[in-house]
Amino acid sequence: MTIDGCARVPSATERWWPLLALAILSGPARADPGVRIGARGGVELRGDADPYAGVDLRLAFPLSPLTINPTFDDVFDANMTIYRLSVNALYYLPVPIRRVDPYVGIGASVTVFSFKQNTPGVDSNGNRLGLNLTAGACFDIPVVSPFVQLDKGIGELDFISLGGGLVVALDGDDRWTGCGRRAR
Amino acid sequence: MRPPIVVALAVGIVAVAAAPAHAQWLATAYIDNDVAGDVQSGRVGLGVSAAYYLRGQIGLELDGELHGHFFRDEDVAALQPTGVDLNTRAALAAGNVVVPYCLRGAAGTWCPYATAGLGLIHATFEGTAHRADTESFTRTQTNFAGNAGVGVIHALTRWVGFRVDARYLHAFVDERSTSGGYFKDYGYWRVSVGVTLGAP
Repeated sequence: MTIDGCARVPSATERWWPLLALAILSGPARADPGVRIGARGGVELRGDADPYAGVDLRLAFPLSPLTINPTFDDVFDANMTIYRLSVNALYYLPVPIRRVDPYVGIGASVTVFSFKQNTPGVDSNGNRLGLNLTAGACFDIPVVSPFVQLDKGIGELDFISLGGGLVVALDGDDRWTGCGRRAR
Repeated sequence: MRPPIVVALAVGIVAVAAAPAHAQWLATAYIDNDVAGDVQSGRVGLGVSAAYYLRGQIGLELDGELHGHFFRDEDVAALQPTGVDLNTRAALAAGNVVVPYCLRGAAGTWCPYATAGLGLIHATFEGTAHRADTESFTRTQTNFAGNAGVGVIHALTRWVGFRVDARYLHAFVDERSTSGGYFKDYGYWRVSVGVTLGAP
């Protein structure tokens, strides 16, 4: 009741601020995934050596020992425009080396290509699905975690790539290391 | 509200409420590759499936998939006059039985399963004319198909997981048919990976 005797209706901000404050101030829920995101780059060996650059996402889950690793790469080929979307499942090896997290992985990729010049009788553009095998190591350093990685693509557009990158943690959750593996 | 609608609504509510206590739904969206057999490999297919599991012991699954560049070019070259670009694609629908066996431990929840079922493959042959003296055309054929395979579902959270699946599909084609473009039985292995929502 206000001093003029009328019931005061709370504003929308006043009604919702406790919930907003709770949402902002609360820590990560126990079911939330650990999210690491970063940039990657390297060289792809397929005939000749083509550089590539892309983004790297690592999602760790409380119920699984696997880290799901979607990536997107732009491969700078002289004759083709190539984009590759991959999703790998990474398994961090239980190796007792402090701040080094080696891993292996397997997954699938879709490669979308387009030739810069048309050749009669050959698909000038298209997409191909392939299998990925991955091995790498991530270095659990505060703020950003660098990694190096070797990828083997199996399929019609097979390739080997050697690269690396940096990932950063988007949460303050201490259940996972900076690389996204379960904290020991 | 008219009486028939009320009755239908009531029946629907009762049917949902009467579902077995341990029944679970599992929906999957997947991407697949036909890796070996009588069709083109390496091309992308997209599919969805919905399964209803009774007490986690047996599931009934409806599966649908669309696949581009389905047949190998050399196998359908006879349909392709000079000056015509031929593309093939397929739509698949199947009803399957799934038998999972879930393992829960320190490595998380893994549910390997075996599956088998029956369905249809609807293949389309689309010729696009690139010269004035040729004509575009579209042919289709629909064939019964059986499938059987194995896979595994892994839970990432309580409701979200992923599925890896490999199954063999065999289409039964009438060799005397004059419609369509592929006149013999064909079979192939399909491997898919997908995201699951729900739990078996």
